[in-house]
Amino acid sequence: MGEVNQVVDHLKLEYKGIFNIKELFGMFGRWYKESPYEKGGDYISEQRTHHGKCIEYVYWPWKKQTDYIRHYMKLRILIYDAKKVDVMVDGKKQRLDHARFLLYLDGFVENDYESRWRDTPLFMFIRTLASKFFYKRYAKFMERMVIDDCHHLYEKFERFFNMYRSFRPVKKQPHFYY
Amino acid sequence: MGNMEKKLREKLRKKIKWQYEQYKSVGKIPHPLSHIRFKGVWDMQDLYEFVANFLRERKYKFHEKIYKHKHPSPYGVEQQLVWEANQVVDDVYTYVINFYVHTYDAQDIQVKMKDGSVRTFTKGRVWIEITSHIDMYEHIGFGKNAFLAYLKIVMQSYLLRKRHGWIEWDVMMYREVQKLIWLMRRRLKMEYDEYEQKDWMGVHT
Repeated sequence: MGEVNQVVDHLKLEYKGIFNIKELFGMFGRWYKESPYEKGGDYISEQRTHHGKCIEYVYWPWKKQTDYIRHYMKLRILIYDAKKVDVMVDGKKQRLDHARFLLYLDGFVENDYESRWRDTPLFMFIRTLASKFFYKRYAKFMERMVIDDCHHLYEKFERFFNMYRSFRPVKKQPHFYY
Repeated sequence: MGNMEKKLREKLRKKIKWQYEQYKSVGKIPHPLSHIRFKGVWDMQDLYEFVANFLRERKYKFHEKIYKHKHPSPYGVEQQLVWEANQVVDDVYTYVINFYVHTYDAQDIQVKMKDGSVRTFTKGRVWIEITSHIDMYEHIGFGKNAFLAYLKIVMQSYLLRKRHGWIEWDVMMYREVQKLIWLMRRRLKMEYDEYEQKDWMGVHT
């Protein structure tokens, strides 16, 4: 474990309504393939309650940027009260999920991830001096890359939920709606 | 050796001594002491499990260092518990939280719940002290000689100063310790149920 800097701190996305949980994770999986991040799963929990399913996922996507710098994120996805509902889409009935969705996104830059510059105090001093003083602009550039990746992923989630914004459950609509 | 040189040497010696003292004093960043004082009925097992779970979910290592069960008096049992939780954040920082729990006049009572089940709660008084700090450069060995100590002072004072004070201290204090205290108060069902940093999401860069 090297020197870890948190650059994106709890970016939060909240949504309540209809969406497809399976498609959500499909979209997220495609993002993994498109971006060169490696999949790092950490924690999955699912609980069935009388008011619906409560699901929690924590992922740690990471990628090695150089031999010295690694980027990683922490995604905490919380889904509360997930229930199946029937929805009319283009004149066809579809079975989707209704739930409350929460996403917390953190971004990190890890310097010296192989811990080659931490064994002696002098090495550590040089490492700190390099990242904070000599290569300050380079370190900032690396931080900016993680920030951009985090915002890109955040916007992907936003776009995904915007697709479902107009969907309404069948039973709650007036009879003249369709 | 001239008089001037003597003065310079003395000045340098004093300066190095002062720097070493400073080095020793900046080995860790402490947090203010927080405490909970409660009198009434509570579920000790639930409180214990909750604290252990909360810390384990956040990747802390949790240790019960002392468990003292004193000879019961006519008023009840006196217990002392000392817990420690620590988490290695990276090469530089280690978060440490210390708990001191002391119960007075504690008696086990049977409580009948609304659904008819019977549970064992504790009735008495409890005093909980929570101290925490951030250890820095624990395993690196900056204390071997004066030169390395000086390097550490330079790092502390100039290179990582903002990070120590504004990022690590705040994050640990407001997101870990204060949140835990708030949730512990909730477990004890205390009237004061406020957590100022509830919606604090940090800096969105």
